[in-house]
Amino acid sequence: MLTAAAALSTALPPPDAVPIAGLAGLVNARAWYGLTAAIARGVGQTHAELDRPASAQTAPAGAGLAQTAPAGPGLALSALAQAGPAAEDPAALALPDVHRVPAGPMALAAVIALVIALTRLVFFFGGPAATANSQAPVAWAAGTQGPAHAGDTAADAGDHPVLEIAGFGSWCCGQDRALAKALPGTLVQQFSYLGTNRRGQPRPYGAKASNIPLPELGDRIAAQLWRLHVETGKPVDIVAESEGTLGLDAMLAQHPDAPVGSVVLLSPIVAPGQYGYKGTGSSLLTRDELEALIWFVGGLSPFGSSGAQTLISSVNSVGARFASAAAEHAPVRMLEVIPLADAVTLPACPLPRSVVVIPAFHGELLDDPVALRIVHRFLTDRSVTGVPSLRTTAEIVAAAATAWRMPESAAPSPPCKSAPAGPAPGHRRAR
Amino acid sequence: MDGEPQRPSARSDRFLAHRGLIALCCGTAMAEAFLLIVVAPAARALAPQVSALPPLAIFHDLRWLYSTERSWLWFALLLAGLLVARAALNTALVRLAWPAHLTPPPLAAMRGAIVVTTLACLLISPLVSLTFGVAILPFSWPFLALLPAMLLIALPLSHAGLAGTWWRTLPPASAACSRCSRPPPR
Repeated sequence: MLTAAAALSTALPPPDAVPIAGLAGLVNARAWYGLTAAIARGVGQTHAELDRPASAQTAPAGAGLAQTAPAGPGLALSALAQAGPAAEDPAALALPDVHRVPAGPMALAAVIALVIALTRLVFFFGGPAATANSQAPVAWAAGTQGPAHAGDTAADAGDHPVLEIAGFGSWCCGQDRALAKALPGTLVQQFSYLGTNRRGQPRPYGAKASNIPLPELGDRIAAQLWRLHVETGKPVDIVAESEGTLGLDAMLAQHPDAPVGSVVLLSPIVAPGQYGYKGTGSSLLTRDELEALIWFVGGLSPFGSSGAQTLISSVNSVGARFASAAAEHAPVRMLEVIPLADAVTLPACPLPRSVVVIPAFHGELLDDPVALRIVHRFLTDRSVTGVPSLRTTAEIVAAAATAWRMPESAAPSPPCKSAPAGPAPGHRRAR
Repeated sequence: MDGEPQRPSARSDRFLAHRGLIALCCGTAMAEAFLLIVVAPAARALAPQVSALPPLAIFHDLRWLYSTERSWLWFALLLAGLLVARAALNTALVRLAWPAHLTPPPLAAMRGAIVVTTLACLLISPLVSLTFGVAILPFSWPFLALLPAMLLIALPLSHAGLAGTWWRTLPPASAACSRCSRPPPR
């Protein structure tokens, strides 16, 4: 109900939020009534049985609240055992069981253990291997080894080379990459978070290498991009995913003249750094608690206890500034492919026309056939049309999710203040 | 019974008869919504949570508390104010929701409510930190993990403070469905 109220409040004009809040308040009242009634009858019955003969009148239940517990668990349990038939109210039969053991704290401990175990399992089954293929031979482009040259490949897809920037936890390098297969005949070079070697080839790296500050990431992307541009003589198209989109923002902010062609953002990090801590006053608590959480969750993950600490700290410091600056230097052609799951973190505003929503999870689009088909169409100058109903669904989900996110005083810009009436994906627009 | 005022029977204790409860729940939510429309319209979706059951309401409170940077003194004052205000509101809501045919809890129960609110704040605080982290680096995986974790933690806390023995009980199923556990009519 609270989620639905949030979706309505956000979708409708602001003044409508007041009556919607009133209706939600009514549901809250019903929840309080139901829960309190169930507990009160239980407490009342327990104390009636403890304090008086079974034939006594209705019990004063309130006394139970002031006490920390009945006289003893044994008494309480025996009272409960005798309770049902004598109850005035049939609902008294549904007494909450008063256990000898602290059931509430035990349930909480079980829940916390379950959450930790599930987190570990998710990383175990779904996370990357921290050092997967870190020693694999460097693959330059689809089906090639060694430095790339403009005439090496037939320009079946686009006539531009493509730089593939994978996200957090990725590894480099392998020849058997889905993007290279999806763009046959196109020079596809994988970006390395460790930079390139003397021959200009991306250096192999493991999953932990992507935990670097954004300015450094932007510089490394720019260096590899320029090198590819110099060797091919053409603007470089970019396909970036997740953290790669943050790196692209950093690069565009720090190197606005980089020779960028078309850009495809997969699982983009939209509106990063909307909140942040400066490390003074109470924000020290926020920072320390967040760092402790990252340390703990990182310890459960293959990335180690440092987790994504460096990256998050950097996004906290410069993420919003880079995103804003990058929006000013946005490339001529840009497509954002957003997995529907990411709608829960999208700003609650109409999606720009450059966005396509597909049914997928975050960070998995470089291996997603639907996403790769979209990338191929876009980079070959064909129009891309998403499923309109998914856009609508994503907007509704984004609005509903605001109920459970940090409160925002204003919608983030970009993307909410940018004009949604941009060119449709696949069509070039004049600079 | 002679000296006591006549109380309504259990069967006449219907939800709509609890006008004070309805007024307080709706009034606080509407007041927050109105305030947010004026000062932070993008956050108006949070307003209904101000009168929700304790765990969700505390999640609401802590997100506001974490949302701004303050000096330690201000933070301490705000936290203390939050604990007292939340405990007072919950105590009032419990009294107003209490079945009319049973004696409502004494106001002294607020001391226990403060303890419970403090405990809930400690338990929910890491989830608020995670929410804060998602606001810094917005992507869906931590958010998708946050929601079930929040609901799982909220479940055993949902009746916290409603009775002195709450820590030795689990939330009754009849709270979710008041008719579910009643015996069939004979």
